[in-house]
Amino acid sequence: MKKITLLILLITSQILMCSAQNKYEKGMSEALQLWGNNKPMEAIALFERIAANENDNWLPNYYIGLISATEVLSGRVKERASSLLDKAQINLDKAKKISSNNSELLCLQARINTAWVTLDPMNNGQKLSATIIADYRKAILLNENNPRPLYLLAEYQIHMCKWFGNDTKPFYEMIKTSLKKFDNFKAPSVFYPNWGKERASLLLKAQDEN
Amino acid sequence: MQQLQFSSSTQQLRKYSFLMIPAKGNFVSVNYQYLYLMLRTTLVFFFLLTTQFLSAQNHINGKVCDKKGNSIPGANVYINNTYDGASTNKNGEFKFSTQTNGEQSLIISCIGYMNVSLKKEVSEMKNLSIVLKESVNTLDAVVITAGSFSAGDNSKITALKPLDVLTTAGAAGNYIAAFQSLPGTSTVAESGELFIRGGNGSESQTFIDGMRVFKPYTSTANNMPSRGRYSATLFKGMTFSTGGYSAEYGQALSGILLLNTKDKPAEESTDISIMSVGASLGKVMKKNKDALSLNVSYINLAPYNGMSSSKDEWKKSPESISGESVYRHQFKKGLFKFYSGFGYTNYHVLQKTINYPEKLSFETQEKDLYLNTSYKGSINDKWIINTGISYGFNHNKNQINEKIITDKEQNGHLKFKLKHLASEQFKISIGADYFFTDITQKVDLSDPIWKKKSLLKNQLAALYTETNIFFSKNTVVNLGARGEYSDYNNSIHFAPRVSIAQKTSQYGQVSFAWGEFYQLAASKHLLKNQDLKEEKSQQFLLNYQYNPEKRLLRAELFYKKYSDLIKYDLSDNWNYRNYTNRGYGYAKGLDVLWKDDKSIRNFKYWISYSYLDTERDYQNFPEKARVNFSNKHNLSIVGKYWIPSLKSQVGMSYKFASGRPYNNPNESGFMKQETKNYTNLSLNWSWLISQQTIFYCSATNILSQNNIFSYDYSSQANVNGKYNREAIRPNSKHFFFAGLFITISSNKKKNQLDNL
Repeated sequence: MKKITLLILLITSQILMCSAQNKYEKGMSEALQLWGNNKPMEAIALFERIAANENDNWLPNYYIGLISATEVLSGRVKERASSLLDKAQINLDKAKKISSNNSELLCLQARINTAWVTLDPMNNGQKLSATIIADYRKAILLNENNPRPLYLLAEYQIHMCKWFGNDTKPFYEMIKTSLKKFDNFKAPSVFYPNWGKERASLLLKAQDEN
Repeated sequence: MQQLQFSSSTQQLRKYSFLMIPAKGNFVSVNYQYLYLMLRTTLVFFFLLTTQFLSAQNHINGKVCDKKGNSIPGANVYINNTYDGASTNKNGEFKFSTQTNGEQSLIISCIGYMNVSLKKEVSEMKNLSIVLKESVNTLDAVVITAGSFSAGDNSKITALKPLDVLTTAGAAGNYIAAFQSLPGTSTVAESGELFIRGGNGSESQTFIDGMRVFKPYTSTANNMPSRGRYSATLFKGMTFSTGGYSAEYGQALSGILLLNTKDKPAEESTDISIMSVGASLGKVMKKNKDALSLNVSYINLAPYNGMSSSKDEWKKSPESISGESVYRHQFKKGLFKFYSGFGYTNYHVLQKTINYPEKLSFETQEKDLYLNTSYKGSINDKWIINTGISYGFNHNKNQINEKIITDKEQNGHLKFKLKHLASEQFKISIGADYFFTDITQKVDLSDPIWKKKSLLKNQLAALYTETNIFFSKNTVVNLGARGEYSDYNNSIHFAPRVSIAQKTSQYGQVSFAWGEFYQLAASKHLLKNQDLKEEKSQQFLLNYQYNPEKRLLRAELFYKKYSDLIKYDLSDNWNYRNYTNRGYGYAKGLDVLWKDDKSIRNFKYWISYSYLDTERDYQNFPEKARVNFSNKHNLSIVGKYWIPSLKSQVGMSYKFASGRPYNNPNESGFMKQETKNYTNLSLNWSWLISQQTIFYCSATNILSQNNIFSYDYSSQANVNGKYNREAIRPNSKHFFFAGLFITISSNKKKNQLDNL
């Protein structure tokens, strides 16, 4: 009898967990869909609601940061750019508290700093460039299978080299390596970051055409 | 485990397998597993059905606006602990449905506003009208700007970016020179020190990481401009206050300069600089939580002394060796910094002065050591601690013909400050300072009658408190008070300080500051007479700032009243008598700054203008008169143009200053004459040769103006009853500087742009 009670208890808790899990999955997919449908602010709002419920999951905060940084990098926002980046940083810091030494979070940190650079290249470039590159390098070391920091670092360096008129070739080699890693990359969970491959291929294609 | 394939993620798989390891072994667990699966499928189905039946969807809607009734778009509205929610549309409206029931908390959050939580029955959450209060903790909140210019990252109060300080033409990396292009400073080019609003160079204080610096300027020969002693590359931010500064600081009648060292270097590197005046070598090392920056430089001005057509004859050109190091350790909750700098300077010059037919020989050797440790960290979310010790040792030997003056000076500063962040609206800090000064001056002449030794010892203790109250994001008040006790004259002073800022429009704001400031008399007077009281100033500032994106207009009216200034009689060139504190004076005027980074692509410029009206009766003045270090009108124009195709930045800076008063004993009246206007046009060029190498050159006084700072009159009249005079001119008319800056690092993207 004892066993059966235990079993029922176990099952009920499982069901609750399962529905919570479904709720999380549903929320995350919905939020990502909103972003995909070009509704970044709505997506951020939903991710915020998810983050408020998922205290030990770094992903919702990660996506808030990623969307914010991407919005600024795309050049779509002008007026609110700095407050959006501040928001990105706040959420990234929350994510870092949940998951330390995370290769993906370092990439996001560098993305946010890159966005700052695009807002004021002269001042912020001089101040943040070294930090951006150092973060990507650290991200590569933390997870050698992660293709993103490799590709992002190469992309950043290519921009810098073009500006200074230096040889970009070695960095295209880096992109090629990253593409191999993208092919072998297996996301450990459904909503784990898994982006960048298309953009990396496009960059490589653009070089071939030149 | 294959039976669990429907589970969508590997994480779930792991969770389940963990739950299903019973104490009794695998066999049982497998049985449970089948049973569990079967039950689960049924139950899930049942559960889903019932929830569908039991909880009919509840619809929630409403509107979010601010206090004035303006709708707030983009606010996030949701039921706490659920995912149910929505963002407000452009009319501030929201609607969504939820399956929750009963009493729930509705959370409304939006950037720039304080979160609101509303507890209510879900069924009653209809046509809600929610008012959000503005948060004061936002980027566009009001900031007190009266008096201070900041060169740092805080966009709101930044007048200059760190890079601006370093690439201003004519400044050649000297941060003091860059601040001289801002309004509120007088052009006293032969000194090199900061002369703020009718105050002289000793009326300002410099602080590194909050700790006092005792000898901020290098020792120089007569009428040769000194430089800031510290290399600008070590600092991440600088704040220059021309008045009305915080109660945290004291002992400066006019203003303060706050320098903050860089927190954490991003990576290791080696910097090499080869310049027309010397060379320097820098190294940055890093390991986990520790970082060390070292910098050694050798400067020799010999090439210039050959060029200059000056009246000076150099026996030994100014030569200096200096070194600096910054060590940082990152603790879990704070940052420890240890800054140390040493410098050795010597020169020997024969200068012609009006009173002697032969040239006088000036020989100087100066040794300076400065140590500064600071710690800043948080105790918890509400308390911040800030503490440190600084110590300075300076040994200066001056030989004028046979007369040898040796100054040995030791100074220390101990600081402890606590800041309590009581709420978003209310912050309070309290702190204590302890300073000591120990000066020995020895005068030696071959004739033993002239041998003299003077001592000065003083200790100064201070307590201060400051509260910062935000009434809304548009209004802030800062109340401060500083009490100081000085042990050599047993005096206690109480200096209240108030500042208020009010936002008037999206980009505009008005601030006002009032305060009292005390400073001990200069040690050269104290060495002669120790009964002197502190000198005092009272300041009123009214500031308007308009700061749209990448542009800044700033205007400030000021009135400064001096009292208790040192007065004495000078019977001849050597004897000072009758010391009193009966001197007084005033300074009033208007400072305007216009900065524009936006109008012309790749071009930034700023124009600064100061009007200054100041008079004093102090030192040995017979009556109230204008002081010789004040210009009525000061104009500075600085422009920088970036040429992408040449990878170069070309800069120019133009300075105009109206004449300075001087006293002509051949004419009646005191300080009634004025020198001619001063102008100087400087150009510079920085060229990024590669990512690791920068070439930089600059030239001053392109238009070859014959500037005159003042006149020296002979102390004795000549046979015709006239006093002869000699003009004080720049040591060299032009100054040309060129340098190559190379960075070697594992990361090739860092260059030395910040060393310029």
